[in-house]
Amino acid sequence: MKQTIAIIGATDTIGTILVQGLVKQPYHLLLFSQDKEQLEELGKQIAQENPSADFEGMHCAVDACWEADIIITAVSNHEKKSLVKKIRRVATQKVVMDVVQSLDHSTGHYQNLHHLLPDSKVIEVLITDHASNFNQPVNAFIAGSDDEALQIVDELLRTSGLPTIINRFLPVTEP
Amino acid sequence: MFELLFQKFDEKIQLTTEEKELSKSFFIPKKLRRKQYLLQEGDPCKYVAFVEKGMLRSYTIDDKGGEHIMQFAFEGWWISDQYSFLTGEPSSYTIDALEDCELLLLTHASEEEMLKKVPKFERFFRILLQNSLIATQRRLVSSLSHTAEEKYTELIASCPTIPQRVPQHMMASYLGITPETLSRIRKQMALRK
Repeated sequence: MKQTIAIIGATDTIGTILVQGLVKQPYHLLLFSQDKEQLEELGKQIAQENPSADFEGMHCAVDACWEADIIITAVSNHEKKSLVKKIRRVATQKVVMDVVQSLDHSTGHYQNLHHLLPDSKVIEVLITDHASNFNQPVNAFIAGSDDEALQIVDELLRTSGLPTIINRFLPVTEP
Repeated sequence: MFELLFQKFDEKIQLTTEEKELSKSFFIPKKLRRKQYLLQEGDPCKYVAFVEKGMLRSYTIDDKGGEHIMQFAFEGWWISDQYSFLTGEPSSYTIDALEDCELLLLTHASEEEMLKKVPKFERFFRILLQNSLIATQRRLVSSLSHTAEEKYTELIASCPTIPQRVPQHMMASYLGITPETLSRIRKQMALRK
């Protein structure tokens, strides 16, 4: 059965890469961005390139996540905490694919969403720096403790064109 | 989001505030739009769904494309394909939304976890299963031996708002009669009032 995926931060660099990859696959996509104009532009571009794409822009991130079976958070670190607070109650028991925006360069650690979404199946995804240059190969490192959720996210990323490397033990910054 | 579900809990068992809070963590909150599927025939049924808002139906489709409605589910009701849910076998049913819905979904694994962590739910789900069995028995008897008018009367008694929310052809499908027969029955009943 067709799964519904909410992409929060659809117009951010990584968000857009994921949207463009996933839109070719049999998913129902719900796209949200704080920048409504950019979202509209993205929508027009997608519709032109993929006339049969099943997607829509959403006015509310909470509604998008409530309808979704899988949630992708691809927003900046400073937006993430407030977003996660809003969506927590509608993300229970759902796979949440959190795109890690940056590592702490001194420690190589990253911020982990597990403590902010304890009832969700959080999979952290680090996409390598080459993401900004579409001609370069892009890799994704993924980590999480739920086997089924790891498989789901692995498949999602592969179908969107990103090869993945599963790594359970990415070093984590304590909250 | 959990108002109706907690009401249903309170009707059968006594939970502490902590137990109610804990129970929230087992359910998937899911908004479904009108005409969207919760389950498609041939897929394994992953969820038991509780309806906080809205309405769904479960049905089968025969070789000629005709729909046969098994069940409606309104606010406060549960819906699933029990056989597929328990065995993981492909479902014979399709479940879709007749109105925009707010659902709370429970997977098999979550249900087991919930029963382990809050054993009081054993009683709740046992009573639910008993009621489901009774309802299935009554539907079978009704289907085999009651008149069309009796079946319609039973349907209205179980949910008086059905005629306002469900199209006539769907009510007829549920009752196993033609829409024309149902229309005739409803006119006759209205004249008698």
